[in-house]
Amino acid sequence: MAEPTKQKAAVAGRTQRAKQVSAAAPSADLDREIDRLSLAQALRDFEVANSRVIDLTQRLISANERADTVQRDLDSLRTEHAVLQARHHEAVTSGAYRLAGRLLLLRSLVRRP
Amino acid sequence: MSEGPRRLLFAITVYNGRDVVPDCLRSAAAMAPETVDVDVLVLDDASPAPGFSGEIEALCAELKVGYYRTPRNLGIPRNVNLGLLRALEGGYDYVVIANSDILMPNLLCDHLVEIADSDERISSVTAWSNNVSIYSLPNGAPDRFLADQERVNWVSSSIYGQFGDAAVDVPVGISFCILIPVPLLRHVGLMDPVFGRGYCEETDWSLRAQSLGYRVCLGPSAFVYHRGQGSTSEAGVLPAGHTTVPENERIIDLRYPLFRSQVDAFIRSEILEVLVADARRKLLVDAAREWGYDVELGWSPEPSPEWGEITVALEPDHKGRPVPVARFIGFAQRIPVIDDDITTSIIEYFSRKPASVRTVGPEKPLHDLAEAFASLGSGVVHEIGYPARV
Repeated sequence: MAEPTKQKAAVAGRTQRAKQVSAAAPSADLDREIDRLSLAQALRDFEVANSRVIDLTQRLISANERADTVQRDLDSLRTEHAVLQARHHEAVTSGAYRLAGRLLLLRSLVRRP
Repeated sequence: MSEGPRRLLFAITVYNGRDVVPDCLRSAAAMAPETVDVDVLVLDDASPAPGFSGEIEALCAELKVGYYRTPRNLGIPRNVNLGLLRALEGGYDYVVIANSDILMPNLLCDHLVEIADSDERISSVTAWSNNVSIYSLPNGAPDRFLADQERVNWVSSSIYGQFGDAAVDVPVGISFCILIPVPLLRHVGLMDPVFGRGYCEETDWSLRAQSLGYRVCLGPSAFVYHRGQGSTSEAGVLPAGHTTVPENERIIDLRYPLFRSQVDAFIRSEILEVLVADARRKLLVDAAREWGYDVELGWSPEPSPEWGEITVALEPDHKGRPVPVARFIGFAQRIPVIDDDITTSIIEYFSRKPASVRTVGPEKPLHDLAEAFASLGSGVVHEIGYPARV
């Protein structure tokens, strides 16, 4: 916070000359000047916007390629998973597997004291 | 900075707002800067309200302030950029970007420039206000109490006496009324038009400036009245129920992932509480010095003093004990009670005795307090009332 003495010095040090605010320029000149600034800036804004669209499009394409790759990998793994699941199902439903299960049960019953 | 008197372009962005813009422009034209040359420029963003632009253009001509209407609507960021570019091309030292729903004190530009000049690393100074996002100086009824040129001048002058050229670092500036030193625009750039019709563009600008090593500051001594959302709500820039534009906030989150935590840290820092408490105290004490103050003893309804009236009333704290609360045009502050001595605490707070003391109701503790004031020479009036509580 400003010290009171510093504030007083700052106020006293000012040139006490109250002014009126004024217009930025005569009206017609002002219109022409700001029209010119506005047009120049609009062209720059257009270039920036265009560059951003190109950049975003490239990033969208890259992201799509990445998404395609990931999707392909996922599809491949799903297929592999389905094959393995089918093989597993085939094994657990086979006669040999069921017989082995019964033998294990029998052995545990025989060994029980 | 250029030789001779420094020049400031005061750019007011306008989009409709027939009920607020004329007052704002009259307030701008009434500014009486002492240390800077100020040109006012109104940037009308192709306001669609029938006849509105013509009225504003005529008013600007009458007030002798500059007026420009864009051929088509640009949105806030690009309209603001016109002001920034005009300041750059016109060789100004400072530019102020202001909304069209504010009333500014007559020395606003001097105060803002003084704060900006206190450190060359300051990239922007946001004025203080009753309505400036998280930095607001709360007021109970700002539209009733502060929407008046004389009062804005008085409040600003009082607060200036407290804070002088103090610049308070804040996470971002708010472009409802913000000063930017013009040469800095060549480093930081303009508002990004990616923010479309507006909101968050000044957040992006501020964070860009900070990343370049500049300070972003609030100027507590530069107080303006701000009605708030005067034109953006009318224009439909804000979705219903929002105070900002969610899509633009997403851009900020993407660009500045730490921003929200920085804001949280600022809020938790208690800097604002100290500022608000100091400002309230200064306003109340200055007002009491100018007009005196009255004490009301009794559980009366919350007083709502008018301009020039300062009242102190008793209110129960969370334990039901009476605490004196001072009020002046919507600003209120609890007076800290020292050693359970309410009378002395009130007098010490204001450094003077009350002009009058009024008791309402039959309670003995209130009459004891009144007698304490009377023993110190204050005039006491007893009024017949009802018991305080059911």
